[in-house]
Amino acid sequence: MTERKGPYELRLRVNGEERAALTRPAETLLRLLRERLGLTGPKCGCENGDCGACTVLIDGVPTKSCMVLAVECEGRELTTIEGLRDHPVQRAFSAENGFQCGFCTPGMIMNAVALVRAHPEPNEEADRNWMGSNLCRCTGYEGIRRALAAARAELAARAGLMPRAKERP
Amino acid sequence: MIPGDVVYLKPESAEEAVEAWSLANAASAAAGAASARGAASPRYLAGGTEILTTARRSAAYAVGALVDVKAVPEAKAAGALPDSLAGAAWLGEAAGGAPYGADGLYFGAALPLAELEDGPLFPLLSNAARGVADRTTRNRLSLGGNVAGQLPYREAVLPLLAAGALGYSALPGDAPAAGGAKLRLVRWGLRSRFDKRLALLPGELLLGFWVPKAATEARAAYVRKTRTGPIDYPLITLCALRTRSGAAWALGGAFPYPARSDEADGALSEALSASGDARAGALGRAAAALGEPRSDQRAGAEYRAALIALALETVAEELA
Ligand code: FES
Ligand code: FES
Repeated sequence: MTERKGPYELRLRVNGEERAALTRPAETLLRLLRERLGLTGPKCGCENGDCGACTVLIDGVPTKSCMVLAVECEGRELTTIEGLRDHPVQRAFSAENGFQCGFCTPGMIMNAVALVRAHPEPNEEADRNWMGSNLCRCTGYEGIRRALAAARAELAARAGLMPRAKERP
Repeated sequence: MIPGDVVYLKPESAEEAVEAWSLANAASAAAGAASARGAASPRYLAGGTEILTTARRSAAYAVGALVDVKAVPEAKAAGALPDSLAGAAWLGEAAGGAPYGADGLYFGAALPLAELEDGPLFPLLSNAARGVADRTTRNRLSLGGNVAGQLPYREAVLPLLAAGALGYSALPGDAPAAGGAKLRLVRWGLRSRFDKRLALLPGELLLGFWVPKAATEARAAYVRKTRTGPIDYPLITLCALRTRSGAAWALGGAFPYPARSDEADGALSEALSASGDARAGALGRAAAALGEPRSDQRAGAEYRAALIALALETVAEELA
């Protein structure tokens, strides 16, 4: 049985790197990422599981980091927005105006990355179901919908399933 | 975030989990006797969303130790009943048989609702799971947490009530100090222990639910109405199944607790084989058997009653 109490050194894998930080079992993953590891991409919107701005991937599964204790993440693989490098979903959000103020964007993008991986084909129902977890006060969501379509097209093109737009006759 | 300090324990078996809870409880009772705030009871943790949101909101919600049950095999199993539970004894005197025969499917209490939503094993449970919160939150919310939680809605319990599910849980053994068993594995009829909420004993670890296959494969009907969109608390959620004797159903959202009754099942069953005024009368009795719906800022009692009447019409058509 694992037992953790008081301040202790937590080791975990974030964005492909082994990291260690002093934490205590009552601390959420969101606080650990932002305040101890300096990863301020996940945003603290509501800290109540409502807005999705703090979404990160835990073993590839989108998770609201304000709703998880850091101690639960020992031995898990975490990905925050800082772990993406010019990902097609990031490029699509930029190209399609999928954000304005940008506060919701790291959470939106992390959820979208997992969504297009789980549903590589266009899927309106899945898009509504998954992306409904993230609130945006600026865009009206249209740019985000376009970004999902563009990201899927880019990923499909990369996989050789269809020609890129500029290569089409 | 949880204010104050907690001890985190992650057992790897039901026996370790129940023992960890008992030890933590004894330690917190001793510490509580010396503290003005009293004892902070240990809690079992699976998804943890209710624990985190409640602790953040209220200093009165004291958390002493968290016993994370996500590595307990029986709490994560899905499909066949785990071998370790085959010999579980009936709790108390309420022995009885499985309602539809011995064939059935098991759903561990620590399974995330998103996994149940995607799974094909029990479509009515998938529908009910999909109604709870939002998709990302459902990646964390657990079946057991939803069923045994404090919120009025607890929609995941509705298909289990309609299906006449059995619950499985682990209790501290009678006399472990004297060398007796450390653990008692028990099973019980969910309907017999669920009166507005699931009555669990102190330290009892909910392991999962067994649903008769006849219920998982039965014709089902599901109606959910909210005030705004899909991500909202329900004004009503109705889950119903066709059974050998007619129909069984449970209703959430309309009251501050999930509700069902034998009388309500009987009236809906009557409606399935009636027509005209007799059918309308039976549907009216089915709704009345559960009592008058509540009024709150989302909807008045009359509006909810009208939604229930419409939903029962739909359900009767789909099950007939
Ligand atoms: S900050 Fe986590 S959901 Fe809003
Ligand atoms: S871009 Fe401002 S909240 Fe979404």
